[in-house]
Amino acid sequence: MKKILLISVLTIFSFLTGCHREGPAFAANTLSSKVQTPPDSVVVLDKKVSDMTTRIPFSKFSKISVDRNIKQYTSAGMLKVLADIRNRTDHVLRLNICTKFFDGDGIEVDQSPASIFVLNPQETKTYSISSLTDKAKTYRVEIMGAQ
Amino acid sequence: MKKKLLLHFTIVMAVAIFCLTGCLEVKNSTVGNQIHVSPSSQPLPGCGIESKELRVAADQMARLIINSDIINNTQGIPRIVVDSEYFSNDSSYVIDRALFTDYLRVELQRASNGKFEMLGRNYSDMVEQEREAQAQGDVTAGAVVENIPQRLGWDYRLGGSIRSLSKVVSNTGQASSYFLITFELIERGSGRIVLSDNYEFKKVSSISSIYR
Repeated sequence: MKKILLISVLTIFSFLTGCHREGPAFAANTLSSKVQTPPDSVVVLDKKVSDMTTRIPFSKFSKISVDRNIKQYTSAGMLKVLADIRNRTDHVLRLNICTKFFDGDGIEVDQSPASIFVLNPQETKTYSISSLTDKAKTYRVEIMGAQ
Repeated sequence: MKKKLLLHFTIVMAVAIFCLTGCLEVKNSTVGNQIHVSPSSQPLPGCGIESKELRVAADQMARLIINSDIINNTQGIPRIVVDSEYFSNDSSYVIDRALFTDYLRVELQRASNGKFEMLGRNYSDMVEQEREAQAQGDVTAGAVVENIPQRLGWDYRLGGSIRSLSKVVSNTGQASSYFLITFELIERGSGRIVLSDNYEFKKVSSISSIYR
């Protein structure tokens, strides 16, 4: 009984010690191989778009497919992205797509506003965007579900 | 014995929880449910033009201009005027045209990188006032811009329009609106349209909204 009481008191004090803090705290550094995305990629940020459980048990597939992801340069020397996005479902999909451009050090130099992309059932459309600056060397296209 | 143990355990856990609640962060109280949202979002329903469409349309035109041959494969540094003077709102919604042109102008100015010059014709009154004051001797010359420079002529100027088609179904209250935003760059003197782009979208909503 005394042992249980002692352990409980020690547990409480250890919790309280963790709560006591003075001054600013360092933000958590979450950079890891699991978080970093490769350059020149098309990623889906919204779980609702990237996952769709069918009626078949334990079967999941994405609502969209990125059939092509092409990197080009315009005549002005700006980075241009072309991505074929296909709707794999039988209903209309509304997506929010924005593109972030990065320089050689991975610093963001340009970002497009999120634009609505409407795909009819089984439709494939090409998403295309050019950067505003010639400092852009890599990109990341981010796709989210929209209303 | 077991009952006593359980009682003690319950008391300890209650005390622990009581102590831990003191460690919870104090949330800022919100006044009137006010929150900040991204300009790219549309948190309220409606069929009109929102900040989202405005930004996308202006951004699309800016990227087209930056990557065009009239900027990149031309002799000299072209001068461009981007303002709402010749950008009309012919839609059935109340829209501040300057929202588009101001956003576009700033985007272009940021990305110009010496490839072209932006002229602020919308600030003509300000420039003229200072020119007159200096000519009359009321003010001195500037520290950087010493002499009164000649007013610059433009090479290309923005023109365009916002048009819409709207429909309301009376028995359901559903409404739909189609918008067509046209941006064009006009060449000085000749009047040629050297660059043209459209941004179109359509919305359907069952909730009527008032746009100001």
